[in-house]
Amino acid sequence: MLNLYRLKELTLFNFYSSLSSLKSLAFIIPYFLFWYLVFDNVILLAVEWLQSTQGLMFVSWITQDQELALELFVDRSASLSIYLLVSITLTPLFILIAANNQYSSDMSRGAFRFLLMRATRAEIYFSRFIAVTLLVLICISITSVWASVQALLNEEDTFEAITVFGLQTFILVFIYSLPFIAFMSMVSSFARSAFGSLFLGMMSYAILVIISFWFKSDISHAIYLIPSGLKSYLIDINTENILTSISALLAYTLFYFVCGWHIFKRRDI
Amino acid sequence: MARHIKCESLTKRFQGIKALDGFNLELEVTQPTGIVGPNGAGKSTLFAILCGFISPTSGKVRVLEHTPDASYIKGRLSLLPQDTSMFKGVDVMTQLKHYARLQNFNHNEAKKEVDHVLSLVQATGFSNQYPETLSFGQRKRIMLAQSLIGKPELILMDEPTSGLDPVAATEVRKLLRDLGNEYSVIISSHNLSEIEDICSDIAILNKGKLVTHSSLSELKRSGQCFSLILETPCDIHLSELLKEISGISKIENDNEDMKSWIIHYESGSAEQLQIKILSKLGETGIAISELKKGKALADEVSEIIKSNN
Repeated sequence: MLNLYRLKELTLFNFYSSLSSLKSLAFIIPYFLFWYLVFDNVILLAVEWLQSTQGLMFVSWITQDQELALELFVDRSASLSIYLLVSITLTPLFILIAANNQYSSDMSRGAFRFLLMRATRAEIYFSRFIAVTLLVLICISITSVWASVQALLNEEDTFEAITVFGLQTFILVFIYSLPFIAFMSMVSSFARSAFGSLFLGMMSYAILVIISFWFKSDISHAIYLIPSGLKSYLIDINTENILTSISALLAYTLFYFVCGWHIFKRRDI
Repeated sequence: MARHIKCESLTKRFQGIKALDGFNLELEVTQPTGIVGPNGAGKSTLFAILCGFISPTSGKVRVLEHTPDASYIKGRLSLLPQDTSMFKGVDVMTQLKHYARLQNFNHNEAKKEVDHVLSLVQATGFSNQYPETLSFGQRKRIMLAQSLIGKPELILMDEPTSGLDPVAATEVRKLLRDLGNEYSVIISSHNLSEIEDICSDIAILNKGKLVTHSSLSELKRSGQCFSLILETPCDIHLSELLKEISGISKIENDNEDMKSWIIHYESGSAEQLQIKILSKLGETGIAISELKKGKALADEVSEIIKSNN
């Protein structure tokens, strides 16, 4: 049973202390620096090129779907579409950095011992996951608003259209990040250090990517070994596909989270 | 009084090695209790199981009538760990306030409680510092302070003075003696004079098993003997000098230094015998540093452990 008061206290403490910690700054600074460079230098040129015939042909070739290319870069805000595509591509990398040290170093150094005298393992495990999710949620909210403002300033779409698509983009990027946070919860539950957790997370994710691509031609479902296999559905124009992929992402999240919990509750602290 | 600790057939294996081996203990901590034993006896493993840091391989454990991970006992049991780091980059006050908040103190009460426990351990000056900037002794005080937050029903202290310099160790020992009157504490220590000084009850562990559990006075009474320490080593064996005194059954030279002796006696008046020994030694001009009834705890424990091996 979770004591909600303790869960709240633990989450807030983790969240506030993570804001000033190196492990979070290693994510926050590169994340915002990257988006600053994208929004400040790249996005206008990219929008111009992607809305040209040559750019649309290129996207049609990449996605194998001309209708989708037109929907993304002509019918909808091109800036937000670029933000969505880049976010989804880079989310695994950023989240692996943001969520790499949920438990490992505090568990190895023994700091959890003080918490375990006052809270249950379940409360500690949940609170760390929620605190990282909160941090990621805030960062994605800021960049989503930033992308929407860019779209409002540089494009002719209506305020309403940009707001709706901006909100949709934010929700998709956030939900896509959840299984990666849970994946790192799982990895961090058995790693012995922050660096070990990051290394193990990146290595295991890279191995899963390689396996899924290797067996893609023989077993078509191999791409669903990792959440990245659902990327194409998230940018689809078919609402049913988007909803299916959201459900699948939540299922991945639950799977990794439960696996991580089983490791965490058995681990010596 | 609630039964504080109950272990039944507790076994813990680490890669095939048994740290605890069918350990049984039932303890009502009404007065400071010491847990002693040689290295590898299972003291730290026992504490780790009681606190829920590790799970036993088999057996049952109840702390304050609940399992160690039960939500109900959180905040009622606390620990002074031997060598654990606190959270890095978070100042002492913030960390301790967080612990107090987890123990249901509101914001203002938490601050007051932290100030109170810091003053108890004379560490108020460290409240705004980061734990990583403090010395080992200062950190030990902070860890002691955190274990007192909310006046828990039971405090487990694992080697409370290990790693401290003699001055700091004496101060902490004095503090523990004072706290022992107010809090229910179980102290695990290699330092038997510390246990003798602070505790009234003692449990001796060896090879993962409980060897004995009794009050300290009972344990020391169990051997009918005197401990004698001379100011200078004696040239001849004391049994030669004291052979005329009736009632003495055996005299042993403790530590083989000819200064420390154990004089065993047959049942009878210990006080009379003590006077006779003092007079005889006085007559022969041997200066006595100490003569007390019973053995030193260290001797008693070492004898019990030897006979158990």
